[in-house]
Amino acid sequence: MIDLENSEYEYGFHDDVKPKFTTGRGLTEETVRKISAEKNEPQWMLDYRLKSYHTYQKLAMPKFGPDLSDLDLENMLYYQKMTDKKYRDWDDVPDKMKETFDRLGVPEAERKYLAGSSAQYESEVVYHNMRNEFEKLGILFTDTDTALQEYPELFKKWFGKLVKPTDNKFAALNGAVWSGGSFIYVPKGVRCDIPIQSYFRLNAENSGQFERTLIIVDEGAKVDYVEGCTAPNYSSDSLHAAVVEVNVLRDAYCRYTTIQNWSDNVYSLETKRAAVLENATMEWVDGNLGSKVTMKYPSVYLNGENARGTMLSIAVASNGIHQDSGARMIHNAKNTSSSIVSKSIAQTGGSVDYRGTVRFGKHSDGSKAHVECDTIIMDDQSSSDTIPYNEIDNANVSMEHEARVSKISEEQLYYLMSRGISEEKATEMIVMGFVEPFTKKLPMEYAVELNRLISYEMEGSIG
Amino acid sequence: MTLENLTINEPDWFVQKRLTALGLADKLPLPTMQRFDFHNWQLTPPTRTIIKTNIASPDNYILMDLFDASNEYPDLVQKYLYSIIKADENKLMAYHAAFVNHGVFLYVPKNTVIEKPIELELQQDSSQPFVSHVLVVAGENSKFSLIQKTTTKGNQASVANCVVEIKALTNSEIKYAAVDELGQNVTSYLSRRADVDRDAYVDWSIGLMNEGNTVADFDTDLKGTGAHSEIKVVDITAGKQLEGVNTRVTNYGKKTIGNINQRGVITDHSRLIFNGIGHIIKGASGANAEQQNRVLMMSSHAHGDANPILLIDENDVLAGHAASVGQVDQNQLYYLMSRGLDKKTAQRMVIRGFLGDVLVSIPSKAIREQLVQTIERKLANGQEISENS
Amino acid sequence: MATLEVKNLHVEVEDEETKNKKEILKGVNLLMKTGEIHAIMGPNGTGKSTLSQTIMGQKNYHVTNGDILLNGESILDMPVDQRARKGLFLAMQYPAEIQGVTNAEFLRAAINARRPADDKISVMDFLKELDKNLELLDMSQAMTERYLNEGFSGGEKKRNEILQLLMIKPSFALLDEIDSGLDIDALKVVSKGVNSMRGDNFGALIITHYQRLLNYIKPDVVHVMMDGKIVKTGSADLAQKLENEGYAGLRDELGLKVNLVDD
Repeated sequence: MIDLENSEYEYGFHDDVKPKFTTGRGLTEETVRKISAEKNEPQWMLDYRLKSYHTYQKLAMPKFGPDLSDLDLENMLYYQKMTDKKYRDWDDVPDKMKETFDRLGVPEAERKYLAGSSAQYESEVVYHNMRNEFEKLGILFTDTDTALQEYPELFKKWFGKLVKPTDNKFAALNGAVWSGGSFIYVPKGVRCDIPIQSYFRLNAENSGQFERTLIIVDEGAKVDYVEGCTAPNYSSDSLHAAVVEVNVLRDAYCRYTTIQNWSDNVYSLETKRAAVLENATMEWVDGNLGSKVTMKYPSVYLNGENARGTMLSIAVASNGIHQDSGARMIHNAKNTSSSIVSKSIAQTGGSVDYRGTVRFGKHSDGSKAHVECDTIIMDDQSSSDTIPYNEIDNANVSMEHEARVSKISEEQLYYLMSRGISEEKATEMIVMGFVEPFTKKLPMEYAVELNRLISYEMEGSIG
Repeated sequence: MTLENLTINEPDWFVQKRLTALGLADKLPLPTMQRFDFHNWQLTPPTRTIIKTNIASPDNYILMDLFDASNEYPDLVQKYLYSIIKADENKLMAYHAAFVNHGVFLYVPKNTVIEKPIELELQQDSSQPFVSHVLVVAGENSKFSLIQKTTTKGNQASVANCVVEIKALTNSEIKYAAVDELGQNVTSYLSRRADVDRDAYVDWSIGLMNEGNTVADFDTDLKGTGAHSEIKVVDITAGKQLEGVNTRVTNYGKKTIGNINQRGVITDHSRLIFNGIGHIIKGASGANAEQQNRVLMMSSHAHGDANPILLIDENDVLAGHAASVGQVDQNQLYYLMSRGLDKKTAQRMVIRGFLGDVLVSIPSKAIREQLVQTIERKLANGQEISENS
Repeated sequence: MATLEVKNLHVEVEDEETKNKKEILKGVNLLMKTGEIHAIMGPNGTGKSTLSQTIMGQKNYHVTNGDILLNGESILDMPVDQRARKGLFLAMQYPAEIQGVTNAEFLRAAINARRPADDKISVMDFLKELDKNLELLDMSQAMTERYLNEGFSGGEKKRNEILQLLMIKPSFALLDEIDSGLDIDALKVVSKGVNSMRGDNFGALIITHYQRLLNYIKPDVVHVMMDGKIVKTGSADLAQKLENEGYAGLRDELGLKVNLVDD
């Protein structure tokens, strides 16, 4: 049974799958112990969770950015396991879940153009598979819980190295109750040119998803990872507090693409961090289309000489949505370079902010940074803040930062309309053109999908 | 803390303002500045004596000691004093209003145009705290330039708290230039703010050449339709100086224009935090806000921040900012050296070009030249130290 | 046969700096029919571009009196895109640059805007037409994949305006100084493009300072505009006469009290 609650957001349906196991509403030390026990975890992980839980209790809510006072952390479902096992064949996935993912186009995308695919439903990954040819190359791609069981040494070596529980309140929360997420290890010199995808689906009302993703791209290796997120519309709020750690070793390359399209009752408060060594490259491609509140500032720690970091992002905020996102580029080694390009659109009463940091440390001689933030505010109900921090501790660096905020260009509108194109179509063309540097970076199918989504978002924004 | 002898000869309303502020000084928090922490600076020592300003009063406008003016023109002073920067905004303003011991009142009546720049040379004596208030009122359609130069006498450790309030009434035009050269042992708080009415224009040129630790807040509120302000700030930091500068423009009125242009040169072991804030309030349609924050890093022992912030609550606007951090332009340097200049001289010349926008807009040639000399001196010292460290 | 008629047109613009309103057009009358090429000449600042922008419907130009009729129907209340779909086209002096939108994509959108939703132009037909016109204008295919006018040189922009003209095929084209900034070879190409449109179903109004363009696109009627009015109308010879005698000569001959910019 599929329930289309809200026709405006096309992924807003939910189904009535019953969990096999749940910790119930609310969060106590007992909840944390139950999660760990259910997952059969080693002692060190339970200790880590408990330490994170105590840190979480001590830390204050963020003192900047959007209003989080409506977020009801008391009545949240922190852990829900929907199946007893993880499947490698879509035909084995229980019908209701499979139907959901079919509607979201996940199996179809996998058949067409992915090297590997996984799907998380509530707290656990229910499906994951990788094409044989890539598995043979030694690429490890599994859910993070399985990785803890199957690759304990590799896992322990890298887990929690980039994001500590003390980093912020929601990173601590994730440390306490994390579940699911992707684990990817690409061995030395292995180049995986076809994207690997994970799809995250929240289904129940007032629930939390706390996936933990850990990626290690070994020396000279390459990976292109894509994640998508959707959820049903509900009147009460849900929380998505992910932690992502990406380690890009010498000469390696990682592109991490996110298309976040949560329904407008989801708080998406994520901590994403990458550390990059000599001559390696990290590219974040980040599209924020949905959610109620997003706070997300993926960072790149440029720790090796000649390391490169980029962020290419778009954010669209409509009525009731506050997108507060950006990037952080931390130059810690010689001749590192970074680039941030951020495109934002605020409409029908939405708020869209860019918040970012570029820091040049003492040892960043010869490093460069380039930041461009462009915002279109479509109407007088909407607003936008641009808050960049540029901190410099080295005299031999260069940084350029530019930002623009304006309404849609009258001159461009007039020009297109003078060729007979309607105001609505002309506006859409200008907006599509505005975000084109972003869509151009997406795998083809995603670009088409994204254009459709934006076009959909823009509908009714005229007149 | 008590007010001791400060209140002798002051009208009751003035004393009352002091007493109210004194009551608040302990309760209010320090002003906040993004990315700059000065909470343990000693900025609020009590003052004991009034420092009188003797100025020959001109015929067609009022320029006089603020305390004298509060007796002679009580209605005017009472109306505008602390109307732009409120005494209860923060701890340092409350302290200021309680302990103000130096002041100048400039009132230019409506339709008055003054050709010659009005010059104000203030000297702080390092043997006592300097709590100075300059109150400027530009009447409707008036037009004038004001240059304020502030220096320090002596080398004792001391505090300066300097406030400038500017009220620009309808269609007035004010050029305000400041050269701040407070001494090495002076810890200072500078707060300057203009309130700009319909079609009025305020042009700020500020050369921040203090040698001691400084917190500076330069604000412009564009209240009336068509109000306009250009704010140019140049700043050189040297030694172990710590300096935080907040330059903010808020567009309230329709079709208002506010542009910020900040240039900083950071030498030696100094730290400079440059915050530029452009805030467009909902309803300010047709507003324009542009800002540039450019920083030259001359030493790897130095720290610089260039934070350009835009807060936009209206869609019919054009707002933008640019920030850059870099070194001396190598092409320019090469060009000058190819003409035979040695590297240091060429470097100083390129930097002067970098600071040029503010230099050219200072209306007095003499003060402009003094500022150039100060810049040269600060840069030469910086070069010296950078070389030896 | 289609007609475009301008009747006693008065137009004001607001100065951005001073916010003063200024009357630019002070009673312009003009009747054009398809099959004809008209040229409007006149000194700087006399209202020629104002006329073309007002016909197209640019918002900053306020009609205070008079009317503009396309086939007898007033277009004053129509938005810009509707006027365009009714058959008007303005080749602009300063075309807008739009990043992220390719030239080809834009042209298809413009053509499809004139067709029913269920009868979009096929890719094959579109490309065939596009290739033909590119060749005529001596433009490379690469131009169509570049973003609309972004980073185009002055000459490329003008050619691109004419390319749109050829693709869209309006009934009336207003060509606002398409000769400015063109070298002689480019001028010939652009003229060839316009001439290829000539016929019973096409009319044009050419705005120019110089007679030179009119050597390549022969006008049927020449109007001279001064100080917001058409002061003289004649045949192609009038343009030659102006070239020889200048605007001052004509002004004095007509006994007008008009300041020319360089007086």
